[in-house]
Amino acid sequence: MSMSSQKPDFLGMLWDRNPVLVGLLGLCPLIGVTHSTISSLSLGLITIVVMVITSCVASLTRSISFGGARVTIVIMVSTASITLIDLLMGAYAYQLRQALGIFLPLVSVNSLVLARATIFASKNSTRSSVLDALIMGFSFALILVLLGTIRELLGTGALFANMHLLFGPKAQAWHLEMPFIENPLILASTPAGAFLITGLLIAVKNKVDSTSHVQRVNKAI
Amino acid sequence: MKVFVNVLLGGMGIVLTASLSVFCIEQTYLATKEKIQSETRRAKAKKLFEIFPQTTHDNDLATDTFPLKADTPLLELRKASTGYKARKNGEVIGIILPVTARDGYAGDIQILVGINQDTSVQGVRLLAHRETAGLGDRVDLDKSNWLLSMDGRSLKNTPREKWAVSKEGGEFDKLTGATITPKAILRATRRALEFAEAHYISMFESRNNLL
Repeated sequence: MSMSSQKPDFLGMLWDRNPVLVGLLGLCPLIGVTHSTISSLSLGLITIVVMVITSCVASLTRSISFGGARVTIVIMVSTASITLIDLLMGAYAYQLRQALGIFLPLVSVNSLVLARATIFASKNSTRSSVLDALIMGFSFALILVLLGTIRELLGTGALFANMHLLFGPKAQAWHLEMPFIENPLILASTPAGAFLITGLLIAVKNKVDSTSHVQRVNKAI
Repeated sequence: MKVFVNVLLGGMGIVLTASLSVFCIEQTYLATKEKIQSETRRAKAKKLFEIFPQTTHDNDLATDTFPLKADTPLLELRKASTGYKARKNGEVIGIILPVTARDGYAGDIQILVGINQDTSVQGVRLLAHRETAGLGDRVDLDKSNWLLSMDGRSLKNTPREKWAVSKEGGEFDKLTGATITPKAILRATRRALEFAEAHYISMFESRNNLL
């Protein structure tokens, strides 16, 4: 099978090799930014953009053997793109930029970006690499948003606060208060709670995997 | 020989990437500088109007300023800053002081304290902080109403020792799981009130309401 034009395995990347639940990559932004849906969504989208840019450049230069410098160059590309996004957001999406705080620059330490760029993009066609970055980034963003929504609901007793920062003033109406949640679980808003809920998500995934494996085995019998 | 070529390519690659990156960043920085500055000013002005809404004053709050040096006593500012005056019919009906709380949990907390003519707190708003997400940062208005608990308080109705959380003998609620952040803000607000008292005449431009 030709290495430079692998067909990306969508389902595999989303489930079997999910970057967070299986690879345990990108835990820093996961814990820090998933306190609300809007933060998770924004940072997830930004991570996808950074991954596409970085993987694209890594793939375009894949025939040049930089040796040990490849990792350095990839990191420089990802951090430069984050800096550019930071500046552009400061000018055109100031409030959202403020809401993300220190976690926008911290996308640069997200191991997922470096991992995909060096492991996949540096050895595959540009088209495959961009697709890989999109799908892996999407899988990451999916878990981010899932965790963010759970933590916002449990931790603040409301849902979809501040969505207007990304979707415009009409999105203010999306804010749903849940009056039946009288005393929110503040633990869910803390980093410790984020770790716990992530662990639970991993447990759920593992359970689903083992149950479906048992079912498949039983069917074969 | 191959190793040498790799090292050479690697070095050139790094230099090229670095130069290109710096160039792109510099261009973007210059292109967005003005816009970012104006957005920052707008965000700050927004906070000023949260404290003294448009209906309460008839001057241009954001530009009616007075300078405050970095070593101004009680305010503990890290660098020179400005205070703001709200006027109605020429009379100064309120001032806004920038105060820094250096005893925050994770560093400085910068706040704005709005003070009325009668030396009571009109409102307190956060400008910048690095308090723990989910714990200390719940002092922020979008997460709780704690900041509003200081509205209307003054050194007359709340003596110095009472500017603390209830478990330390004060009269203010604490935040579950976070005491250092509210403590720092309470102390900073109290210092702002003390400053206003000491400089009442120059800031409010009159002797009315003094004592």
